[in-house]
Amino acid sequence: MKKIQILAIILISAICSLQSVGQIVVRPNFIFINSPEKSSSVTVRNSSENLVEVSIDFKYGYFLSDENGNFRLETADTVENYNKSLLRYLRVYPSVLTLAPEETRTVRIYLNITQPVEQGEYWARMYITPKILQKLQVKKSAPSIEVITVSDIPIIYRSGKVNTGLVLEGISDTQESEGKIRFNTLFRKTGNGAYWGNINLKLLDKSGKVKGSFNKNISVFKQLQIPVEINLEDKLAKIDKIQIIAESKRSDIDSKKLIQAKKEEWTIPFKSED
Amino acid sequence: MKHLLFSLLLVVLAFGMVNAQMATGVAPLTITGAAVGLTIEGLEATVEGVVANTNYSVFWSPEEGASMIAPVVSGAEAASDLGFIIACDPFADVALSFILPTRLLGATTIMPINFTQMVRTEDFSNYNPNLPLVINGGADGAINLMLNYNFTVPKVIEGDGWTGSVVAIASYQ
Repeated sequence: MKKIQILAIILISAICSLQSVGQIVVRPNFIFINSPEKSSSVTVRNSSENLVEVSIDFKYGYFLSDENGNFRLETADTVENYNKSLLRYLRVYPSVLTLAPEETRTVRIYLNITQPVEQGEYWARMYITPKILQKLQVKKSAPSIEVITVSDIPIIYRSGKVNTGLVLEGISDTQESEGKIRFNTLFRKTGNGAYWGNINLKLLDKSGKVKGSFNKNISVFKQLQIPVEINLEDKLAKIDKIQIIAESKRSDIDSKKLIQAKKEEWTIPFKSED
Repeated sequence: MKHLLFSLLLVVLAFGMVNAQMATGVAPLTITGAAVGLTIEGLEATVEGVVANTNYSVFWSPEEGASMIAPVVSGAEAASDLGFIIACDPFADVALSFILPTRLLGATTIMPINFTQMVRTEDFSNYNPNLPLVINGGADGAINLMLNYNFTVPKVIEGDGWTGSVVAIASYQ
């Protein structure tokens, strides 16, 4: 009897600790709008135990990588081709909302397009910022640091015919050590739309057997350098070539939402160190 | 009575399983190809027991599994974790960027602060929080990051308290 009571207390305590892991949950994580459609929506759920005020803001920006493979979000302050911006058309309702614990609300996104826009893709980022409606307590003679978390959702609008493709510009900085092969891959998108898809890299020996692989979802708005590190299944394996396959499908986005590009396959000769 | 308690236990257990799934945003057998909502929770920090005119470092210790503060001057110094708990799709790449304060503001004084490093608690890997970065969620779709920082306590601290904000921006890459 006593054992069951103790077990019940332990279980209840465990359940209490299994509370939400985030302040808000936004779905979907990517928004694609194809003309003639002019609207979309996201749901915002407050998964915290606090009353939360959520504000929604838009920015123009897209991901890019520098020569070292470091990702960065290019924003309106730095980009040259600002005409890709969707900002001028974007409207949101509501732009500020208050959510009770576990409450979910739908936020509508409208494109105020009154005249046909030039064929192609237009981009923006939606920033969703929750704020707990309880001020951070300032303690006397002590520093306090509050944390503000922002969910960043890309919005892609396609006007008219949009096409895309992927080109492998090259592989550089190849290194082989301790059963690992490292190199950088540089991709560039073609067409008037961004490339959303997946790349699968395989290290093959002379007999064509796979000795290591690497898989990654990608979105290429202009060009993207991806650093690759692959562990060899057999540390003594001699690699003869690198095979790269790119397809416009991702595990996290419905393929119907992606522009279908030609499946690409590249094979690059490689010589393992003796 | 024993039977009743056991039944209650089963109900509580079932509730817990549902609650756990809701908390992680997993809807079993209903979603194909849809991403788990990316969630990011902030851990806010308070540092206590600091002494005037002293440079402190707060760092997350893998040995302790918690943030520590050095040096210990008053003996009452204590720092809570400052960081982020991120839940994402298994093996998803999460792009993160941060806006970090360079000083904390008090009513009459300011406290200079700089952020030196960020530690991922799953594997103790280090990142520079001053640069945008992409981190893979791994098989568990979990990224827990703790910030290390230095600050200088002003010469006069009587009655003052200092605050600042760290902003973290997260998206799927």
